[in-house]
Formats: sequence, C-alpha cells, structure tokens
Amino acid sequence: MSTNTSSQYEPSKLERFLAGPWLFILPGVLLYAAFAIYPVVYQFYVAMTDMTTISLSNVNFVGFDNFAIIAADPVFRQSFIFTIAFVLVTVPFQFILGFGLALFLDQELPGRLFFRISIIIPLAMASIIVGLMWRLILHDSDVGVVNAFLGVLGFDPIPWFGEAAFARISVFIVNIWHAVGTTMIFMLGGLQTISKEVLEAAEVDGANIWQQIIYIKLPMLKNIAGLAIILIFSGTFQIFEKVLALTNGGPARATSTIGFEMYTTAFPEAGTGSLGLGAAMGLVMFAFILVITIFYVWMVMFDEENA
Amino acid sequence: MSASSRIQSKMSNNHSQHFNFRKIGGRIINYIIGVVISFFFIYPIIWLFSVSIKPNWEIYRAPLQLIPSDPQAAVYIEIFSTTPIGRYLANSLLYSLSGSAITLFFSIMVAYGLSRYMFRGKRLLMIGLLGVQLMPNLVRLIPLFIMMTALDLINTRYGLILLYGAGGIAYGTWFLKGYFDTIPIDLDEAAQIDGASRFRIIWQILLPSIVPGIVALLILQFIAHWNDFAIASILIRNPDLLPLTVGTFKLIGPDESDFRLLSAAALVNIVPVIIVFSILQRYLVSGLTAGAVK
Amino acid sequence: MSSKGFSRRDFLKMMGVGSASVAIAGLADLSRTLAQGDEVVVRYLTPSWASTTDRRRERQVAFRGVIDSFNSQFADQGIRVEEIVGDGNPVTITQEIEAGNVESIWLNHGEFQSRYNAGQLVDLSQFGSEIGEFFGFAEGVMSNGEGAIAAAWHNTDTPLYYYDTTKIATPPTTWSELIAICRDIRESEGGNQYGYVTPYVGWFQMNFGMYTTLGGTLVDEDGAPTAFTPENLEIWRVVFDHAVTLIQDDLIPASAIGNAQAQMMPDVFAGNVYSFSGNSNFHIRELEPNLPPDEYANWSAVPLPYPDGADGGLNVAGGWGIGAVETGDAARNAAAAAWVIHATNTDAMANTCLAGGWIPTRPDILANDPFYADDPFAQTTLEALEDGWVVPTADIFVPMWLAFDVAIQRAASGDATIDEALTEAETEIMREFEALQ
Repeated sequence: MSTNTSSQYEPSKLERFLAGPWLFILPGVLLYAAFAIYPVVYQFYVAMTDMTTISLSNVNFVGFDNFAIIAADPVFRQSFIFTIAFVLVTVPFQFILGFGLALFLDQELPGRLFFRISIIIPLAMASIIVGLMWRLILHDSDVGVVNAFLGVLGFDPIPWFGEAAFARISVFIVNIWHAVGTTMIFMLGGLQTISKEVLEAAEVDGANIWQQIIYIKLPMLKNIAGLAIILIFSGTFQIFEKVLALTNGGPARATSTIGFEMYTTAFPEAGTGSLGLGAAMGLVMFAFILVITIFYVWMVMFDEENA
Repeated sequence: MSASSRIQSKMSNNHSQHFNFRKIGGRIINYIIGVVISFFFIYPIIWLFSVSIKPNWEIYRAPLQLIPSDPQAAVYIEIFSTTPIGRYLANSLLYSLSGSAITLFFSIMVAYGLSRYMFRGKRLLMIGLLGVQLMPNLVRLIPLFIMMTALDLINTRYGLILLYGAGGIAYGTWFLKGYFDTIPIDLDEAAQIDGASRFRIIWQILLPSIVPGIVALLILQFIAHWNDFAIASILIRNPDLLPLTVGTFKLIGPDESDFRLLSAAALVNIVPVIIVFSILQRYLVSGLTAGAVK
Repeated sequence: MSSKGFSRRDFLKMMGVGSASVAIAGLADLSRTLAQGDEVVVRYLTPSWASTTDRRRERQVAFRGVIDSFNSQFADQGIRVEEIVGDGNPVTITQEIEAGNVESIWLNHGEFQSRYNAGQLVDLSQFGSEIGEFFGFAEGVMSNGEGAIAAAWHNTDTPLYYYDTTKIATPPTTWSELIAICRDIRESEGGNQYGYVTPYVGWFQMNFGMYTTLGGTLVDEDGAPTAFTPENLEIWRVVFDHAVTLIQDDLIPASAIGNAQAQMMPDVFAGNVYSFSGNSNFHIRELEPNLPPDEYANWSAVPLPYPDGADGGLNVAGGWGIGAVETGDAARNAAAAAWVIHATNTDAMANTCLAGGWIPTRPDILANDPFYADDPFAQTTLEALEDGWVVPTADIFVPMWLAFDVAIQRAASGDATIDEALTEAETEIMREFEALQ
C-alpha cells in the first residue's frame, strides 16, 4: 500500500525482520540455548526428583530431599571440603608459578620459543590422559620413575596413592603441571604490552627487579591477572577426570571432588545411578561457578568500558 | 626522555666490562633454568615413549633406564591391529572437526550480527553469552544425558557432534566478535552501495580479514573436543563409536596395570594435538589473550 | 529493492544450512531401523570383550564359532542370532531392553534376579535348561528358589593365592601362617622386599567370604543389613584386624591401600613381592606377559589362606551369564531361550571360557576337558570353587561393598581406629538402606 511516491517502498514486517540482525543471531543462539542453557535449567527439575539411570520416565517429585541427603552425606561433605581446599591451594600456586614463568620468558633469551612451547604442551593434553600418565610416573612402588629416582637418592618410595595426604598432594602436583601454562600465557601476553621505556626509566631510577615487578608490572597487569585467576578458579573447581584416572577418588575417598562425586553417583561402574542426587551435586557446583561467573562478567564488561 | 634513557642504558652496557660478565653469567643461569623447566614439562612425555618401547619386564626392573636395552615397536603394531584404537582415532577426528565446523559457522553468524547491528537487548544478550561461557560441561552432564536419551540421540555420532557444535557457540561468538570489531564498518557500507548482499560481504570482505581469528578458534575448539571425556563417556556406549579419550580409558582404565599399553595409547592420544599445537601456537597464544590484553 | 540486500535465495540458503543439523538428527532414527523379515532374529547384546570384536584373536574365533554353530543348527527353524556389541554397562542394557532392541543379553550374575524380578528376563526352565549341571553356588543365583531360572551363568572367577616357589616353599593355609611368612621376609630381606600384597580397593569383594566363613552375615531375607549386630561386629574386628596388621606392621607395601587388584601387580613384576591374592586368571593375564621369561615357571597358586579358627575358606565367586529378554512375543522368547541354552552348553562354554581365560561354571568341564584337567591353576580353581560362595543380590550390596572398602582403607591407614571405621561404615550403609526404601 504505497502512499504518494512510488519510489518509496514500505517493507513488510517479515522483510524488516529479515533485514535485521536476528536472522544471523537467532539460529546460533537458539541452538546454544537448547543444548547448553536449557540443560542447566532442567537440572533444577532433575535435582528434585528420584530419577535413576534405570527409570528415566517413571519418576517421583521429592522436593528438596536430595539436597538434604547430600548435605548429610559424609562422603559428599568430604569431597566438598577437599574441592574447596584444592582450589584454595592450587589457584595461588598456579598463579604465582605461572607469573614467574611469564616473567622468566619475558626476557631476551635464545631458545625462548622452545621453552614457551614446552610449558604449554601439557595444555594440549586431555585431563584423562594426563591422569593416566601421572598414575604411571608416580606409581607407588619403586617402579614409578619418581620413586625410583628417590630410591637412588636413598629415600623410601612414597606411597603416592596409598596415603591420603600424598594422594592429595599428587592431585595438586598433576593439576599444576597440567594447567600452569594458562596463567603463563595470559601474564606473558600482558607483560609484552608493557613498554620497555617505562621499565628502563625505572631501572635508571634505581628500581631493582623485584621493585619493578611489584610496583610497575603487577599494577599494570591488574585486570589481566584478575581474568587469569578467574579462569583458573573455574578450571580447578570442576576437576574430575584427573581424579578419576589418577586416584579414582581414593584412598578411602580422600581425593574425591564434587565433580567426581557427581559423576560417580549418576553414572557408577556398577549398580544403578541416581540422577536426582547427582543433579543436586551438580547444582552445588553450579552455585560456585555462578559466583565466579558474576565476577568474570563484571570484570570483562568493566574492562570493555575502560577500553 | 625515553629515547635518551635507552641510549644511556645501551651505552652503559657497552662500556662496562664488569657488567657484561654479569650479563653473560646471567644468561647462562637463565639458560639452565629454562632447560630445567622444559625438562620438567617434557620429560614425562619422553619417558612415556621410553616405556612404550621397552620389553615388558624391563619397565618394572629398570624404571630409570631411559634407553631400552632392546627397543621394540611391537606395542604400536599390537594396539593398532588388535584394539580398535585406529577407529577411535578416526572417530575423534570426525567429532572434533565436525563439532568445530558447526561452532565456527554459527559463531560467525552471531558475531556478525552482534558486531554490525545495534538493537534492543543487544547488551543483555552479550552479557548472557559471556556469562554462560564459564559454565562447565559437568554442570549439564546429567540433564544432557536425559535429554539426549529422550531425543533418541544417545549413542549416535550426530548427538555428540551436535553437542560439541552447540556448546562452543557462546565462546566462539565472543571470540570472533572481537575480530569483527576491528574491521571498520565503512568497508561493509561501501560494498553495500555496490549492491553486495550481506552474505557476500561476510564471505568476501570480512572473513578474509579475520583468518587468524578463525584459525585460532578452530584449533581451540578442535583441541577442546579432542580432549573431551565427560560428555562422550555418558553419551556414547557403543564401542564402535567411542572417541579416543573414552576408548583409551576403557582399554586401560583404573583396573589395568599394563604400563606398555597405557603409555602407547596415551601417546596416540597426545601426539596429534601436540603437533598441531606446537606448529600453530602463535595463533593460539594471540587468540587466547586477544580479548584480555588491550 | 530491499535496503540490506537480502535476497530470497539467501534466505533459502540460510534455511537450508540452519535445518541441516535437524536433518542430521533425523538420520539417527533411520540408521536404527532394522529390516525384519519372517525369520526370528535373536539380537544378542554383549560387551566387546566377550564378542567377535575383542582385541584378542582367540576370543574372536571362539565367539564366532558359537554364533555360527547356532545359526547353522537353527537355520531350518528360521532362527538366527545376530551379535550387537555393547559395553556391558547396566545402563546400556536397560536402555536397549526398554527400547525393544535386543532379545538376549550378556549380564553380570548380580543382575540375574533383579532383572528377572523387574520382568526383563524369560524363565529359562520352561525351555529345558538343566540347572543341576552347574556349580552348586551358581544354582542359587540362577534360580529364584521357586523353580524359575533367570539366566544361565557362563563363566566365573575367584581369587587365588599366587606365590613364588623359590621364595616361599610352603604356601600358608591360614592368616597367622601368612603373617609369619611376611614377618620372616621383612626381617631377612627388608628394604622394598615384601612377602605378600593384597588390594584394599575391592578388598570387601575378596574378603567377605572369609567373614562369612567365621559365621558373619550381611543381609537378612528381606535384604536388610545384618552386618552390624554385636556378634557380627566381633567377626568384623577379627577380619579388619588382620588387614590392618598387614599394613601397620609394614608386612605389605603401604601402597596397597590405594590399589585395586591389577594396580598392585607392578610390585610383583619388579620382583619386590613374593606372593599376592589375585583373580583366577592372573597367571595368564598378568604374570606370564610381564615377568622376565625365566621367572614365570617359578609361580604357583593355592586357594586363599583363611582366618585361624575357621574350617576353611569360602571363596567368593563372581562372573557373567546370558539371559533371554522378555519381549512379550512367544516366538522371540523361545528363540532367545534356545540361543542362551546353546551358548552356555558344555561345548560352547568350554571353548569360550578357554579363549577368555575364564573358569567355566560347569564342574564337569574343569574335571574332564583336556585343557583344564592338565592345568594346575585350573585344578586349584576347581578346588577353591568347591567352597565357592556368591554375593547376596540385595540392592544394598553395592553401597555396602563401597562403604566397607572405605572403612578398611581408613582403618589400615591409621586415619581411624577399627571401631571408628566400622561405625562410619554402619552409618553410611544404614543411610543408603533408608534411601533405597
């Protein structure tokens, strides 16, 4: 229905829609919503049912019973505490070591590329394979290469997976070995944006290396360090495959994590898996990740506005 | 001031012999530190290879010996001829490539829409896509199992590829939007005046300019899918369809002690990604930090 | 002309690509559709390690032989068996049964009765299965006590005591003899050399037969736990004390606490440990391939040592069987039952068990088949299985197993006293039991 001038063309609603951004945005967003967001929402429903792997259809609504059960379960409580302790120990370690490696690689050094690649190679490896590999390396008896080496130095073999304390340490070590490269990449990227002039000026003013790091480099890398910490935080929080392959949660469930407990509750090797209980555990993990996410979004958006 | 100070420091380097000695000494120490660090990260993988070519009994009787007395490739022939590891390898390749391709396709579309249009709710959508990125697969594992069973996509190639493809869209969108944003919109407008369609603009003008971003995203997604264990282990139960990670774990699992088989299978898992990773690591490092380093 | 230059063709392209993923999903359905003619096809779901696709050639041949002989024998009746390879996981089995995809399944003996009670299995007794030919312990698991046979038990295993004859001249028969041997070796050799090792992951499975031989019970007739009555607690203390002493007195490697059966073997291969408790196929599966070639001949096996004061050990038997799925269709049920009976008859069982390194559930095979009759390890196993004893199939059993494993690991490591560990296990098991109700 054109008005006065024939050249002016009034697009229909459909045409206006097609001309807009939604045609590009909707397919991807809907696909993502269906297979990545909806499941998280659906988890809330599953957590309130007695669904098992044997009967997916015939389920009863049980309200908050599953949460009461896992809260009272000493094994889950232990995994919960271990996960928190694990995060609190490994995140600072990983950050400090990763930052140290970045500082080391941020200097003129022949062979620097080789050193950098060797540090990030573990990042390319699957967690489950890293776990299997270290199970060999740390093998309890003097057959494991670490224990054999200690033996040469005159020490007794360490029961890496036989004693709770050592088993926990082994999970720490393996996780740091696997993931320290993430921090390194981020911090090195940040360090390389700091102009040489600033540092040289500081050097002229008599600042030593430590003063340069603490008073110049760290403050300038505040944002990127925050991002790196958030990322390793969420990465360590969901540790599961390394525990499965390395210690299988043992000995006596000492190294069981929330992720491991959730997986083995829902999909056990033998017997019936309780999806309802597993979903409740998944929501506990969700709550933590949500807090981390809020920090993350805040940091990135804040960063955007400053840029 | 900055230029003069640089000259100054250079001069002081050149003129003081004493300082040069210290510098050379420092270099050597740095070098040693570098080698020790690399050793710590790489030796486990070298040792794995050594175990895989040792005679069985030597693994247990001489664990520190790196060079086997009688090296043999038998275990590699054995795992490729008597275990389905070759099939697992092909499966992993298929899943990782198709999953990354689907992610790439949809991410380009969404990133283009977000980069080139202003519309109501855009900021909200962007925050939403950012927020869900950190959500680990573990958190949706159980619902996905139930959903995929209901859709009859459990135990199928398509189901796994679909999940891999869909799961990376939020990350991929953010990743690529950063690259799209660096291209001036004038280019689009000029092409539009010449009558080019939007698809043509994307294909002929925008994509060629963001090839590094596309490569980086593809590799990151490929490695993520290649290394996935959790989703594949609950979704795929048919042994013919298993990817490498799950297949390897089933093969040697927690109840096995065959060190030789374990190390050979682990190497089959990691060698392909390590090669890809080492060759293309420049793309990756710049891609990973692109959003974070301004 | 539209301002953004979006043509109709673009739109079609878009829809085409967008719906591709949906189409791909749809294809999944197609691939599952099975063309079925007049003949009855028994689709037999079996894990890859018990199928023609296993990595070991001898298993491929044995299972192929059983399938081929069935197909040729039943061809004139229009019955054919078709192997479907799965992973043996109970979840998979349930899914495939519920989807109507299978007529016969390979399953763990622990699932015989629960699946029969859930209406998933056909009563084999209607089709001429002869239960009397199986080991005594197998009967109790195959039969529901009212004449119905839930499934046929195909192969079994039981732990044995393996020892290096050059180091241990006379194998122990009781726990105190075992401990004496361990002490001798620690005193005379020390260092990393140990007389014995046994796993503490899977400990319950290997040891509750010994608890039972002392008079202990686990569950009553209704499936309720009875493991914590005062009398039973007294027996647990004896059993726990033995396992804790081995670790606390440094008589076996401390790493045993975190290790499952196979994971303790490297110590044996390294020549550090002179005897161990392991599954009845460990000489084939573990010792032969991993010991230096001249040392394998030194090894021998006897039934497990048992607690002092008991008349003998009760050796826990586990294993796998084959069942016919209740399909609701008489012809398919009968065909499936015929297949199950065929696949577990004397000939088939002797061949497949030999190929798998398993122990047949028919004692006449162990006694008469030339291979088993001449094999000292097989004869030891036969001897052990005469005192064979099977896990109760109550629902609480799996949680109980896990809880006792945790308890023994905590007690042995010194993290808890025996009484504390037992109290924790009781709390955990009763909590699980209530959750099951």
